[in-house]
Amino acid sequence: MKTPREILFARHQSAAPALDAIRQKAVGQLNTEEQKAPSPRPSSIEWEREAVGQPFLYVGRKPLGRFLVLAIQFWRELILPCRRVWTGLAAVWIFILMVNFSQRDNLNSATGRPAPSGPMVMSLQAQQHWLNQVLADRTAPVESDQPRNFSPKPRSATSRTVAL
Amino acid sequence: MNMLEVADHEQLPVTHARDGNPAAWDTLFRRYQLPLYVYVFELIRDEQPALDIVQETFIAAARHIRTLREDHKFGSWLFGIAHQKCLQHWRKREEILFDEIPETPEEFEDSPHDLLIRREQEAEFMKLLAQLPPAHRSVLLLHFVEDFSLAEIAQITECQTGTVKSRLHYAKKSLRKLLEEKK
Repeated sequence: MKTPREILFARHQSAAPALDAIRQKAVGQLNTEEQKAPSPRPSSIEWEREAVGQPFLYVGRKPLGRFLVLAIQFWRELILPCRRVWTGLAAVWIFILMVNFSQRDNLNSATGRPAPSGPMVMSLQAQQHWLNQVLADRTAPVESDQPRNFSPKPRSATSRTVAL
Repeated sequence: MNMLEVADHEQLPVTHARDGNPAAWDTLFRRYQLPLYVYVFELIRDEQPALDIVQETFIAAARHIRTLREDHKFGSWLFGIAHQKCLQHWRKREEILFDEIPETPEEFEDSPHDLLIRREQEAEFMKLLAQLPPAHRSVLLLHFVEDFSLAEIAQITECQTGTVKSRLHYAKKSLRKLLEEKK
């Protein structure tokens, strides 16, 4: 008794030499492409798995920093799977920032006042000078304006004038 | 390496293959060349195009390995590429791909090893397999050849899990019926 899998594989075992040739051709093509266009990654980089199955990145025999490994893991597991969502979010933020900056520029141009011209400054200074002269007398306190020193006497000491 | 053994997915050097390591690719291709060929040949029933499709599948896999997100899904991903190549082949020949048979989802729980075939029934089994509609044949082959789960077969054939379940049930029912008749 055989399983369907065993029957199928036994039936097609004769194709093995042709499949080997195809495999060698494909791997050979891969080698050629590799030589023509070298991988952007350094060739000395290799992934190794620890006993727990955690991948660690090595350059030569020196392990890269934990931070870099975490960054790569973060990129592969969080960014790459939802790259469209992240791209969309980035586009939305860029749009919001652009709108914000354009509105800020408009606000500045609306509230910004032109600097006063030279004659106007001179006129203003003259007016200020005249105003100072006019108000010069009032700067010294008038006697009536000064507070009187009033100290009330006791009730028994006050003199009363009785009209008869 | 014995082709009949299904290597543990965790032991496959998919990560090294991602880095463009030719030795890793050689191991992967060696592991999948016969199952892939069996699947493709039994679907399109033509030797030379089947070999061409296997080769195209290998080249496409090497080019697009970066689109594979999870290493343990390499097998189903590779069969998915081969399945698409078979569809393209059919389209070129303007054949009717998957004829529609009413789907009646039913419970399906047995494994490919439950079905055992006697030596004298092998020819009948192959004949029946060839007579099955392509959609059912595809699902049955994926189940037999690599023992893919319903979800994986659904992913490879790009259809609903319920549909896969129904097709598999129908195909196995036909097969059992035939094998019982011949007893």
